[in-house]
Amino acid sequence: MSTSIHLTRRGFIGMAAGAGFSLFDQLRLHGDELRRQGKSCILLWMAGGPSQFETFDPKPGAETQGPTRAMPTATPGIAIAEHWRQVARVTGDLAVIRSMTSREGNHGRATYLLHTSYAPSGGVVHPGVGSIVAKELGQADFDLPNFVSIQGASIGPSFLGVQHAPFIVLDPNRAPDNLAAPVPDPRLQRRLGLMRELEQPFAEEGAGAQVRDHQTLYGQTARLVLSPRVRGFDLEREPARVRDHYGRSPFGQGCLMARRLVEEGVPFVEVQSPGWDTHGNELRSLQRLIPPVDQGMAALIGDLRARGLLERTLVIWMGEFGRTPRVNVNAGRDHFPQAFNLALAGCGVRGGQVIGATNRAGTEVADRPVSVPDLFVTIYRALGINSRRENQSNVGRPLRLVEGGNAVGELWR
Amino acid sequence: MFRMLNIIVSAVILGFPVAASPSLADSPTETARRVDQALLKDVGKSAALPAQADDATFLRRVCLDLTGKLPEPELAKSLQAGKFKRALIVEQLLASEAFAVNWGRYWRDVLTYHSQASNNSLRWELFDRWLTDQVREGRSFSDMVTSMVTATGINDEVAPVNFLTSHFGNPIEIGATVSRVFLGVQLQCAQCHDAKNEPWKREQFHEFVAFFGRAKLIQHKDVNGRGTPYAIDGRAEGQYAMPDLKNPDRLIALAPRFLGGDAVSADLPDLERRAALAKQLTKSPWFAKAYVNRMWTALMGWGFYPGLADLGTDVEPRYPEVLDLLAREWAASGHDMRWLFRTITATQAYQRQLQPRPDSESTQPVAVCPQRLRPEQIFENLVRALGFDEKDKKIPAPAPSAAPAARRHEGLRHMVYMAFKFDPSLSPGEVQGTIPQALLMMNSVLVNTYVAASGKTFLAEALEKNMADDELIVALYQRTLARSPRGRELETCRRYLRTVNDRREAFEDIFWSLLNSTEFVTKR
Repeated sequence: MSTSIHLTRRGFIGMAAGAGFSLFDQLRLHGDELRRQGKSCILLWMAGGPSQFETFDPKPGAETQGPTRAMPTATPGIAIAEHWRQVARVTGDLAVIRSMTSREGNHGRATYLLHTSYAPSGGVVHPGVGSIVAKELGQADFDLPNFVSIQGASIGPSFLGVQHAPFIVLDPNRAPDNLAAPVPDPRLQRRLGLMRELEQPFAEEGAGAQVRDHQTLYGQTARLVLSPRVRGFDLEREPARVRDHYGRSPFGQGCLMARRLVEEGVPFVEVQSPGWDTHGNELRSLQRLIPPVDQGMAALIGDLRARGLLERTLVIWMGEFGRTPRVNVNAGRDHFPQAFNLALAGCGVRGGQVIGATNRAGTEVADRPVSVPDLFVTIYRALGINSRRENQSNVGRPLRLVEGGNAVGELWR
Repeated sequence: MFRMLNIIVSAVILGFPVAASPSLADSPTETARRVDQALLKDVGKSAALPAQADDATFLRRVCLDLTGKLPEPELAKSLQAGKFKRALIVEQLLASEAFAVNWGRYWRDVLTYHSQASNNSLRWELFDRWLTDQVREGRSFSDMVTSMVTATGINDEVAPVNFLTSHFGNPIEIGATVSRVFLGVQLQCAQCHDAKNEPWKREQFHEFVAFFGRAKLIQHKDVNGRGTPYAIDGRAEGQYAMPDLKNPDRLIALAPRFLGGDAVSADLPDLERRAALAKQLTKSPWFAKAYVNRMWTALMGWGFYPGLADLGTDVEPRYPEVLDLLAREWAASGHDMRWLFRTITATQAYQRQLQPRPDSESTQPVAVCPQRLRPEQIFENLVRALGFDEKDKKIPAPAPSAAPAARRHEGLRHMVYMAFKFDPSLSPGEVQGTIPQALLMMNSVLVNTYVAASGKTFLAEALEKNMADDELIVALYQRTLARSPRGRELETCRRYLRTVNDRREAFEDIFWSLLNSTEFVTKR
């Protein structure tokens, strides 16, 4: 267990991180101190909007529930939708929020909102949470990208700059494209040397700044190509039994890659599961959608716990909204931002609890509404990032990481 | 060759391409002269002016700017033969299909770059084709904008309505985009509060947005299997309302009002509201200034204003007299897009050698500054340099980032577009290279298949033909950078050939190095 921790670059003194600090101390930490805590975040993104009724907020007995039954979990008193059999075993590490609420019912707008904490507005383009965490927790000279997104593009860095853009892995079952040089290392170095020499005249002609930036970028890229840490992307190095344990689905293997990257010191990894936009034939779609996520998510949380990484890794399961209580004529559910659910684990979050509630039929939030800004203040607090920090935006005005919102303090109590 | 020159000459005599409306503006040449005069007056005599750029530099620059491609081989030959008139070349380029496609794509990206729309809310092909048509047909820019702002109907059928559906018919998103792109005014901050440094108040933003308050987004039936189309429906009732800051549940209904203008009646039905907006929008002095500042920045690599949406603030522009002159004359030309391209490319400023990008707002540039090429310019350069077929399915084309919900392209073009895309409304200094771009250029199958000295490649054929070292070096420079190597560069390449001592390997490395150089992705 401690071996894997020693391997991490950012985590070498991270074993004790959090232990001796109160949350308020952590809020005051900045820069390198923060980075050395080695915290990371893994976002499990259910693209399309997962139904709360068939995930973690079933309404047994209500007409709106449909045929999916509720099932007890490892935590007495918490029932979730059947089919989540693996997740049911790790609920002791999981906090479920059943009272999320927003106003954005369009995929594009809601995806933006649930990645940035802001609604899109045509002018300012807000950076996504992955880029913000990469900037706040990542090291500038790190030889891997500080933000990796698996099976989807996530939301980009906007004015934070391309150095905080997600590095996208489309298929976790093979190495990322173009990462391996097609020529032996010495020849790559020789080529780069020739390139640098040949661009000297252009630099002297008025493009000095451009040539300098370009060569810095090529230096970084070559460091990535030649880095031993790219093993983080290589699932072939995992024993077959571990790969089986996560499930051989793209999502399961993406979760495994996320764990490997966090071990290497990557502060933010998003793993996407597409297809949750179940307008028609919902039950049949869910039979296909749930098992890989159930297996991958449960394996990830269990593995992080076993390796001692859960203390410093925040795992978030969510999508852009929930789905309507009413089942439509196509046996599906439509978009429903008014009331939806999500789950959190790690980084000191007390598992085995449910926060907030919807009413009996699941048509509205009945207790402790949690807004999207509330959620983001909570996420940043878990990661030790001050959500009131300002970045200079592209419209010449400083912009807070989150405007408004209050942390969901119960998570730590 | 002769045939080509004939075409150019007759094109000029016939006055082709025909301007959209009788122009009241001064001629581009005369305006260019006055622009240069005004620039130099402001700079003062002490400044050392860069010399005029040589023909090869001018040709690469103007071809990339107007057609988005390196010069066609024919054109490059006329250059070598010394039969080369810059103004004639510009006319030929402006009449080409590549010009329409290049600038159609530019506007596509400006208008929809940040849209989260899927293919349902944005019918790419239709919208792309429409924008390209507007440019090709020489439609007045104000008419083009009016069409988009006032469009109604289904986005499967009415191309310009896609501008509105791609923003989900959301009045705030549409209003903010219209003011940012067409007026160069960033109203954004005023959405939530009265911005300190800006003249616009919160209420003014919402009054502007209210012009779109009765344009309703409707989901349609998917009848042709292309996915659910969307439509904008003009309503005669409903009122746009701004949330009360103190009590967000309380809404305050607002009548539409143009920035600093008169309010129009809150009773106006949708179509009349938006027509009233289009009229005030295209007549506004900011409309012409925003367009001129945008195009000048795209061609020169620096702007009168530091940002394309900084016009509304109290930032002092560089060369205000030049901006006013160009904006006035361009408006007088009937907002003719080609007129401004003719004028800017005719200036001495545009035709000088490169100068470093100014590092502060107080620096007064007098020539073109280096600028990152847009993604499709880079793709065209790769096609030219490597000589591959865009439709070749054998070359893997993994996109380095997942597609936006609505894809613009397929195959290799999609791959390169996704790697190199950036928002064309960024200031030139804000565009940075990325690791996936460098990885693609360094390691991709595409690049390494075609720089190889084996297989059906340019290099393999050249070596097969026993081309001499110097001749082959020159040919590689021409293919990648559209110029010949300088003495120093030639010497570096010769020395490299000697050191490596494997002719094939050495030429592969030279080709690779030129493709991976800063200059390959930069306009100079």
